[in-house]
Amino acid sequence: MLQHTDEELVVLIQTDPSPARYQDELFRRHYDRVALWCLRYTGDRDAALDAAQEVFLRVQKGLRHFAGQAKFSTWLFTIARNYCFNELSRTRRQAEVSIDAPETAELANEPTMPVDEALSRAEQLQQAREWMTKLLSEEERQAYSLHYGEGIPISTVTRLLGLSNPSGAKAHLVSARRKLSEAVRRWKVGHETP
Amino acid sequence: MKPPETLLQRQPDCPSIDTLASYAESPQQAASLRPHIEACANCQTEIRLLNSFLEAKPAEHELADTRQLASQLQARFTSPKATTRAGGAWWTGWRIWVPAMSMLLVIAAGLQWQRQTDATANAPVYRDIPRIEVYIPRQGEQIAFSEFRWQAVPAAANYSLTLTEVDGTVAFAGASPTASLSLDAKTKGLLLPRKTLHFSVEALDGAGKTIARSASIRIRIEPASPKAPKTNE
Ligand SMILES: [Zn+2]
Repeated sequence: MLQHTDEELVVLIQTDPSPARYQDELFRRHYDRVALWCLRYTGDRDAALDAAQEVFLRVQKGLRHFAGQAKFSTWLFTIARNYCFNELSRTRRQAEVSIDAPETAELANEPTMPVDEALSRAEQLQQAREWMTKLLSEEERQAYSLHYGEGIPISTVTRLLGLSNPSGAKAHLVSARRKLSEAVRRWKVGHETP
Repeated sequence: MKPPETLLQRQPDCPSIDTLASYAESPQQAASLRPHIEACANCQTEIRLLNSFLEAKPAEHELADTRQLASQLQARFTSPKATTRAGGAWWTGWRIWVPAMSMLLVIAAGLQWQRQTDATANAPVYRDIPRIEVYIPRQGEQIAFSEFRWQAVPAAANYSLTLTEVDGTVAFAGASPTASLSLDAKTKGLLLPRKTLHFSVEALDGAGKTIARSASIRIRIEPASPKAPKTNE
């Protein structure tokens, strides 16, 4: 069984009359990564166990529909990511507000990505992408898009990106905001009509 | 000013996660994606998260927890304890919607039975017995939950019912000569909002030997959405 790829195991699970051993093997290969992902997302072992179980229950349920064009591991990532980002975050966000409250309040004083409304949406998007690429470091860019784009709490962004600096994602968010605000200020000066 | 968050989320021109995965694996082969990915913080973030997921390298402080979680997952999902029906976990996503403040609970559920046909073999063989209709409360349904009910097994002299915590700790163990078990006040106290428990039942013959058992059923108590408080204006 060890010689089978993940995708071959999925086919065996879908077609073999005794599929349990194939599912055992397939799941065994991925317990570590789902456990670690959920641990980083939740920051709590008990909550991580609950989340990881939910992820595998969804995989179990979805296996029969897995078409096999994609890699199983990518599909698994999508399930874990979407569960945490979409469903879990909805219920956790409220609970984490108190934890993140001081830093969030400090960061919430200014608009996040101020782009002039005179620009079309496509122009705004292009401008936002250009500033983020040119002005921000890789970590600032990623922390910024996870926190402001996906609404992921700062402490969770720190764990997901594996940031080891003392204040974690907060430092990157603060410096990203400073750089972007400055870019917007200069852009406005350059585009002001006399 | 437009809501800035929408500029930071996935955009229609962002490649699918499968495409990003193939780029991450072999940037040369998917070179046409490079201009977009180099300009798009969202796609760069997705690739970084995907890579960290696939690498699964716990930091020193994450090591013990990750190992423990992985072994708990293995214990939970490895057959025969888990269901042996491929992709057939019909009970997955089962949600019991219970008013948060209600102390009166009711559910009726038939269970899928698996019979152990060869107790002497090293790897027990499980055979599915035809599925029994399950009565599951509809999402949002206001129900009272006062007993577990399952399909009777003809040769059973007794049933043993277990509620376990997500870490495998037994929260409640009970026995019943009939195919139902009323919950006492103490057991109802375990059914807290947002709590996950696993429920399973075994059918025993007159000699106390297990002749059938249910799949492990995940129960999550969802709190009812709070009613808006009345205001006197
Ligand atoms: Zn993109």
